[in-house]
Amino acid sequence: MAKGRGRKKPTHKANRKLEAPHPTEFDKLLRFIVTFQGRFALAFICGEDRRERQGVLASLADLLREKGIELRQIDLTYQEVTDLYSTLKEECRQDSPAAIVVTGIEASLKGSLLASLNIQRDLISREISCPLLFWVSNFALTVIAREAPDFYDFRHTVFNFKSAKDIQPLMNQDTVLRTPTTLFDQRRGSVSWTTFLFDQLERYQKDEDCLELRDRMAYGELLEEVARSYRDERCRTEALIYLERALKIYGELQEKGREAEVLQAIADISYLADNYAKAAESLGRALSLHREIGSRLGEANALRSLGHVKRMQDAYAEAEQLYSKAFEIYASIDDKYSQGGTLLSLAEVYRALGDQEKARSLADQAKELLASFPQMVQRDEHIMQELS
Amino acid sequence: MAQRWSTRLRLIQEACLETMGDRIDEAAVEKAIVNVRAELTRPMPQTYLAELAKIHKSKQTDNTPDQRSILFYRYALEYNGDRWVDVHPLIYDMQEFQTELRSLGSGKRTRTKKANT
Repeated sequence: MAKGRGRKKPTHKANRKLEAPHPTEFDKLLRFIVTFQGRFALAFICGEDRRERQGVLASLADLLREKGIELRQIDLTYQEVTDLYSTLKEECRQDSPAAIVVTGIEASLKGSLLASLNIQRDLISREISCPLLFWVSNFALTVIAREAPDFYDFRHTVFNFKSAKDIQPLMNQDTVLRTPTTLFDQRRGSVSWTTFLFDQLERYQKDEDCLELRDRMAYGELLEEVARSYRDERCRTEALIYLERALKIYGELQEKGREAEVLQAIADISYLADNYAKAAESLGRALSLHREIGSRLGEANALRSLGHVKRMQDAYAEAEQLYSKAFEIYASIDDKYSQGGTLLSLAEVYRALGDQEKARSLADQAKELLASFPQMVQRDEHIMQELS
Repeated sequence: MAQRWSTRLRLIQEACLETMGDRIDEAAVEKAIVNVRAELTRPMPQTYLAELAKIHKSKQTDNTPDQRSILFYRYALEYNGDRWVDVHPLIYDMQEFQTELRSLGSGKRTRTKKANT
């Protein structure tokens, strides 16, 4: 009998491998959460596709709910976390979930959090009695592995929701394809663009401490480009991890103009995330750099953005001053579009202060300057309508 | 010793996740090795391969920042007995490491156990 059963088994090794069914990453993830119920277990989920992430988590939550397991998603996209343990405790204050998946931690992955992760790993493992998963980008996971190695070492596994290109072996440095900047413009928006970007990023990140000068510059540009791919996303704060790294590189290379541009991009993201203090701080630094290198347009843009921040903070007097300074510079370099835009912002300040007449007069002036920019004329008309 | 056990346990855990049925088959073990190696080498810069090849040949570290970092991240392990050092077994089997080793003039697998571990 035993002999007969033995004969039925495929003998060819390659065939056996082909026939062996593999669980998908989703199956493994589901099994992991079910297996570790009631116990602490740390794992990372690595994936770049933000839409896929929401789909996977929704399906996972549905399947787990059928098994009576509540999956809690803690989204840190709009928080700057410095103490993960306290954040987790706060989020789970009312009831303890059966599994936790943390998203959006990229926005907080800086010195203080990374250092505290190493220190808090024992505390977290004692106090959190359920599977704890972090959905992070490939770049962010490497940052955690390098800068919070003790925390990373506590992992049970890493689930990879990535394309097949990630199975590529470590490549020889000579064969790494360096990306000329012009290629960004040619391929931006194409189907394979995102895959290409992340593939390049992984290779640069691998050797980021020993890149040559030219390659460090290219790495900085690549980081900015990746950050741009988050521009229209709800989770755009996840781009901060790339911008902070680009900022560090440009700072080391004394590329003040680029440093200022990155600071403005950081400020834009912070502004949209309602983090006005951080936006103001970044813009203050950008303003100093623009002044240092004599960039009039950059200076005016930083002043105007600072004006927006102050306006959101209801500091109208400061906003008015900043807009006025920006307007003067735009006028001196004959930038009509920005002049008109700044006048509209000033009109909104006066409207908020209750000076309708002044606001209307400014909106009228703006209309003349913006005659050839239909979109801005629309904004002007909208303000005029509200004033009347 | 603890470091090697930690890797073994991680391999077993990974193989459990990679298997479909109740038994861990060869394919699951091989996939587990690939996965655990990928996560072990995730933070490793390419330049460490040359350092690891040197360590493999000399069976010791020279206390440079790179080699200290290699020990810290466990790309090389310190064994007991007469305190010899060698590359992590999962890294040893990497094609890139073998290429580096060949370029250093080794040409063939030279790993031998020097002491009881």
